[in-house]
Amino acid sequence: MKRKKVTIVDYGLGNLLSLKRALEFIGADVIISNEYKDIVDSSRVILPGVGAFPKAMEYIKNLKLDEILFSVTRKEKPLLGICLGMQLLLSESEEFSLTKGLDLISGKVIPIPKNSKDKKKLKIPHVGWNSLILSNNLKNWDKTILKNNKISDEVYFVHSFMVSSSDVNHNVADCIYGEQKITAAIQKENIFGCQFHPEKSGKAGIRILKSFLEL
Amino acid sequence: MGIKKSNLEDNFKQPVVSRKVRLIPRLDIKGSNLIKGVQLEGLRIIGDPNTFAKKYYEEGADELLYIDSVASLYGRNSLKELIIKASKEVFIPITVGGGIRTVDDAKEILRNGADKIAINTAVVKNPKLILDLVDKFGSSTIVLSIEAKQISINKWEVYIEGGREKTGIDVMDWVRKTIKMGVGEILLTSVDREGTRKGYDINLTKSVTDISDVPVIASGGMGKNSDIVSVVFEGKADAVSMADVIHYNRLNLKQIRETIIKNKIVTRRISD
Repeated sequence: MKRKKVTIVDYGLGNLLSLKRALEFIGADVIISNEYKDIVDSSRVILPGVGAFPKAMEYIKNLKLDEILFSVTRKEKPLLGICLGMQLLLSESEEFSLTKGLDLISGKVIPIPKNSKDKKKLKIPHVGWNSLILSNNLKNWDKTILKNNKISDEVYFVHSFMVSSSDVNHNVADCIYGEQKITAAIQKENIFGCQFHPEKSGKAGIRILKSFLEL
Repeated sequence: MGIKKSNLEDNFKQPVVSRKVRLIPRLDIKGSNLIKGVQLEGLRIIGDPNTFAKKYYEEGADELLYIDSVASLYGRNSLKELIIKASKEVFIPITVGGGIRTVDDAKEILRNGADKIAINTAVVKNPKLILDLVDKFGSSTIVLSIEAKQISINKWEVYIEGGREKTGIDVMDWVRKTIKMGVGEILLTSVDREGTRKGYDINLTKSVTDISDVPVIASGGMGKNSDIVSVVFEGKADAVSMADVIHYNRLNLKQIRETIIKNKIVTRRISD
């Protein structure tokens, strides 16, 4: 297989080295960039992210990355948002003040409720390994970014906010934290998101990144 | 592995623990070598750290812990290059500790492949640094490392500089204070048990988990599988770290995980 060129969008936040290494491990040519030319020239785009939503959107707008991402995703280039990067794909977020997102997938980002249905206090942030389960709308993961994964594969999460998409058909996988169901992966046509960190999720995570390259 | 029957029966009476107990290999580093000592002293070279890191990753470690054991002495952390190399073939969370003195030191480590930093000496000397680190990187990134030495019954003192220097600080006071300041996790090393293979210090662990609402990683003394069972059920540890028992291949992580699952400990299931 020809080496796939992947651009990790650099907007000034987060540890990008681990993600770059994980993609290189499965044979991709990876560049970290915020230049239009690099993003257009690559066959896959990844929007990473650690930090707060409003700050991230501010950087993205200042660098005009929103327009670049709109234009490449319209041309059906696959885009994967990871952690905060997935949240940024949604319409808006309640983190700090209500902030508009990229709105590539409609829905919003809300805090993980502190009190679970069983009245036990949940530790926030949600940090650690958790199992992926099928979202209600799906019978299997065949046509999704999880096509090479097994149900209950465990992946690594670090987050305090969660995605609530307007159309449940965009949900691919969930996880259960306490009694709280959390959206773990979403997908709408060529746009994908993982709340967890595939680059830190051992072999299960590597498999997901591979599926993204093979789409 | 030899778990006494009486122990097993006791454990079944315990309430079910729902948290997923993490298995965390601990790599103590000097220069570019993996080393191991007894009670944090008498350090012996074991080999190339990343050979071991990769093996543990393959065997299903949940996280890895790199501690530069002499960094405090020289006032530097030499782990950066090692972590950069590890990030090429190890895809699980990595915590790095030893010699981190400033926000900039932490930033440098976190930019180069680490997910969390462990801090001890610098924050004992300047507790306010905890606030700065939490503010800049978030609680979930900051692991408080405590080197605890028993001084009387149910009383432990905080040590710094890799277990070499006493501070006069009571471990429980330190735990309460630093949790309030926002540390996200506690790495609790028993200096007395470290490298002895006599089992974790259960009393120490239980005393800390009783007052901690952040996860506690028990460290120091792992010699056999039943040590984990005890420190999880009796000590209420959220995670366990182990070193020479796996470095010398007395046990491997797969066997350890299988055994603790048989003993009703909830842990990550690895699918290959």
